[in-house]
Amino acid sequence: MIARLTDVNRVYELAGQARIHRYRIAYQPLRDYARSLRRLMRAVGDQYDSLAWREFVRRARGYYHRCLALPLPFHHEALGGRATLAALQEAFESPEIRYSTPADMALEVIQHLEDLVARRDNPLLEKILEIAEREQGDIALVTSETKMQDSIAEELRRYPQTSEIRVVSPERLRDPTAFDVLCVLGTASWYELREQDYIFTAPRAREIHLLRYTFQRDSWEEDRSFTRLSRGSREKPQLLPDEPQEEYVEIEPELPSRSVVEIARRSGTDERYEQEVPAFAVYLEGERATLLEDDDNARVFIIDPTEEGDERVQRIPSASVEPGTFLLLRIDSKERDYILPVANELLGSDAEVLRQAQRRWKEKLRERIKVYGHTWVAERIKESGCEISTPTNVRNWASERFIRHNDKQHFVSVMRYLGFGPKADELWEMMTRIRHAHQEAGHKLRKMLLQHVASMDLSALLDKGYMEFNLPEYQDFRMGAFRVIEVDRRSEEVPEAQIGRLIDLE
Amino acid sequence: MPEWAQFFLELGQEIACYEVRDRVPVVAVSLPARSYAAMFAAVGVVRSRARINTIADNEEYFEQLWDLAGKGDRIPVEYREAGKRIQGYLTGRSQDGEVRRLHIDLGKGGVRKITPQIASRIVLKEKIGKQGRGKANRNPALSAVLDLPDLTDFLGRARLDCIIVAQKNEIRPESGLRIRPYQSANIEVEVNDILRVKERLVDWGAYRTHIVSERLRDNGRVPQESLRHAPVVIFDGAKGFIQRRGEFTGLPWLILLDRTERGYRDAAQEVDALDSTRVGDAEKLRIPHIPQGVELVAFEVRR
Repeated sequence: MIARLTDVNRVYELAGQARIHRYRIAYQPLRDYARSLRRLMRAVGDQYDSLAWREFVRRARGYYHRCLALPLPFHHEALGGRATLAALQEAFESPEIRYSTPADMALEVIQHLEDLVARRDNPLLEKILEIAEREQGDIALVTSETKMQDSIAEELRRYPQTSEIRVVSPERLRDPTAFDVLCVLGTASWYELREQDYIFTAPRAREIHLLRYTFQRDSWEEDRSFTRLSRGSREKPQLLPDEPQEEYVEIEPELPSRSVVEIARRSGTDERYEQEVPAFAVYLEGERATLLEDDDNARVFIIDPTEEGDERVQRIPSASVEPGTFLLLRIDSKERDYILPVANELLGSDAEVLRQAQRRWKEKLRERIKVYGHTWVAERIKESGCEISTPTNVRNWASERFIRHNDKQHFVSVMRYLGFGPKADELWEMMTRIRHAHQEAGHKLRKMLLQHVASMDLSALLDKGYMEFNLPEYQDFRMGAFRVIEVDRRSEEVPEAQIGRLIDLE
Repeated sequence: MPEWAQFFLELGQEIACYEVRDRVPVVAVSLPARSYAAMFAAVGVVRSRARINTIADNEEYFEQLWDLAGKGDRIPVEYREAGKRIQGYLTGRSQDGEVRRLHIDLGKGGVRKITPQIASRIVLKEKIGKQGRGKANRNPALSAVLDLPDLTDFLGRARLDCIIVAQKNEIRPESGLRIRPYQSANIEVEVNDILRVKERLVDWGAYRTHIVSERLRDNGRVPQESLRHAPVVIFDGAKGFIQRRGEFTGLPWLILLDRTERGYRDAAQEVDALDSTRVGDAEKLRIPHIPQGVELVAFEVRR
C-alpha cells in the first residue's frame, strides 16, 4: 500500500502539535467491583489452584477489563455482564468455592456485579459525548476491544453528536492517514504493554483524549527512542497534567497465550485428519489466531482493501503472509476449507464417488505411515518405482491438500505400493478431475469474492481489522477477513485438521 | 519539498560523503511514519556520490559486461583510449584458460579484446526500455537534480552507491514519485531514474542502487565484491535491520525505525547495544535540521 505524500506531511506536522488530554473518571460501582475482585484475587492467590477458582477469577477479571475499554451501558448485552454473573453464580455453587475461606469475598464480587449489570449508564460514554460536543472535525474512538466495535458504533449512533464517530482498532493508527481527534479508552500503560503506545509517540491526531477510571494507575511516560541522543531531539506530544488521585486498584489484564501448541489445542481435533503437518502461528485482530501450513505450496486468500479491481482479492503463498495482511478464513463452523465445497459443487453428482476414491488411497497411505513410519514407507514406494519418494514427500502426499502427482508414473507407483495397482489408471483420471475442480474452484471463488468486494466500501475493514463476507451463492458458509497482527514463523507439527481454523484466544 | 523529505535527502548526502577509513558512521533515526524516508535518503546518497569521481569496481563492472556480451546483441558503447572517446559495440566475449576478454568492435578502428583490468575504459550507452538509446543522456531534470551536466558516466557505468534493505513491494511504488530539481522548476524527474535500481533496469542499465528484501528467506544477497566501495546501507524498518544487518557490517549505515512498526523496540535496543560499542561520535557528520517527530543518534563503529 502506498501512502499519500500529503498524509505523511500531516503526520510530521502532528508530531509537533499533538496534545494528549488525560481524563480520570470516577465511578463508584465499578470501583467497588474492582476492589472486591482484587481482594478476592489476593486471598485466592496460589493457595487455591483449582479449576473452579481459576475460572471464577478469569471470568470476573475478563468482565472488568471489558468495562475499562468499552463505552457501553453496563447492562448492555455486548459487555457480557449477565453472562458473567450467571457463570460466577454457577461457579459459586461448586464446593471448592462455596466451602472455602474466601467464599465471602467471592460472594461480594457477585453482589457488586449484580449491582453493576443493572445500570443503564456509562461514564466513559458520557465523557465521549462531552468531548464530541466541543471538538470539531474527524473524530475516531480507539478501543482494543475490536470484537465489540459494531456494538460501540451502534451505541454512538444513538446520539447526534457521536453518530459520525468512527470506531477504530489501535492497529489502524499505524497507517499514516490521520484524524483530527482521537478518544482512546484505557490507560497508556496498557497500550504500551501491547506495544501499541505509538498511539501517543507517533500521534495520528491533533487532540488525543485518553479516558480512564480514577482507580486505574497509568505509569506511562514517553521515553526517548534511544538511550543516548547524540544529536537533536524531538518535540513530544504535550501531555496535559493529571490530577492527583485516590487509591489505585490494580488488576493486570490476562494476555492471551502465544504458542502454536496452545492454539492447536484450542483448535480441537478432528479424527478425520490425523496427519501432522508443519505449521506456524498467525495472530489476528481481536485476540484471534490461526495456524497456516508451513509449506511452499500452501496458499491462502487475502483481501487488500487498498487495491482496486482484480488486485483486491489475491491468492498468495502462506509464507508471504505478513503483519498487516488481511487473511480470509471460514468463520462459520468446524469446517476450515473454502475451496472444497465449491470444488464439490463443480464435480456435481460425481463428487461423492470421487471423494470416496480419494479417501480410500489416502487412508491406506496414512495407515501405513502410522504403522511403519514415513521413512520405511518412503523406501518401499521408491522400490515400487517412484524415484522421488522421500519421507518429506510421503508426508506431503498423505496431506489433505495433495491431490495427485504431476507425473503419472509417480502416482502409479504409489498406487501400486498401496495395492491399487490394477485401478491406478482409473484413480489417476479421478484425481485429475478433482484437481481440475480445485483449480476451477479457486478461480471461481476469487471471481465471486471480487464481484462481491469490488463495489464494497472496505474502510470498515481497515478501521476494525476484520469484516465478514457472505457470498450469496454459498449461503451455507461464512467467511471473514482478519488483519494479521503478528506472524510467528517457528514451525511446529500439528494435526492437519487444525490448519486454517479461526481460533478465539480469549 | 517538505521539510522532513529535505532532511532525509540531506542526511543521505552527508552519510554518503562521510570519509570511511578504519571506522564507519552509523545513524539511527526514529520517526513517526516510514513512508518515503528511505527513498529520499537514497536519492541523497546517489546524488552525493554522483558528484564524487570514484572509479567503478572493474571486476564487478566486468562481470556485468561479461553477462551482457553473452546475450549475443550488439550493445552500443563508448571506448576510451589515449584520451579519445571512440564509439563502438560490445559484440562478444572469449575465454582463453583463465583469461576472459570482452570484444569491442570499433568499426574502422578494429576489434579490441578487453581484460577485467581495463574494463572501466568501456562506457555503456544508455538504453531505457524500448524508448530508444541516448534519450536519458539528455535528461535536463536528472542533470539538474544531480548537479551533473554530463550524465554519460552516471548512466553508462554501473556502480553500487546505495543498498536499501526494505519490504520490496512497499518501496517500489514510492520510487515512482516525481520530484523537481528546485521549487520553481517546471521539469520533473522520476525517483527511479535517480536511484537506478539494479533489479529494475533492463539489460545493460548502469545501476546505482540495489534493493534487498528485508526477509531472510527471500534471496537477493549482495555479492561481497560490490561492498568494497562501502556503499551506504539504508535499513528501511526494524525488520530488515534485525534480520539482515549481519550481512552488511563494516559499511556506513542509516537505520530508519518507524515508531508504529512491529519490532521497533527490539530494533531500538539493538541500536543502543551497537552504540555502546562505538569508537567515536561521528562529529564530522553534519546533521541537517531535525524535523518535528524525528529523533536521531549518530556514532562511529570500527570497520
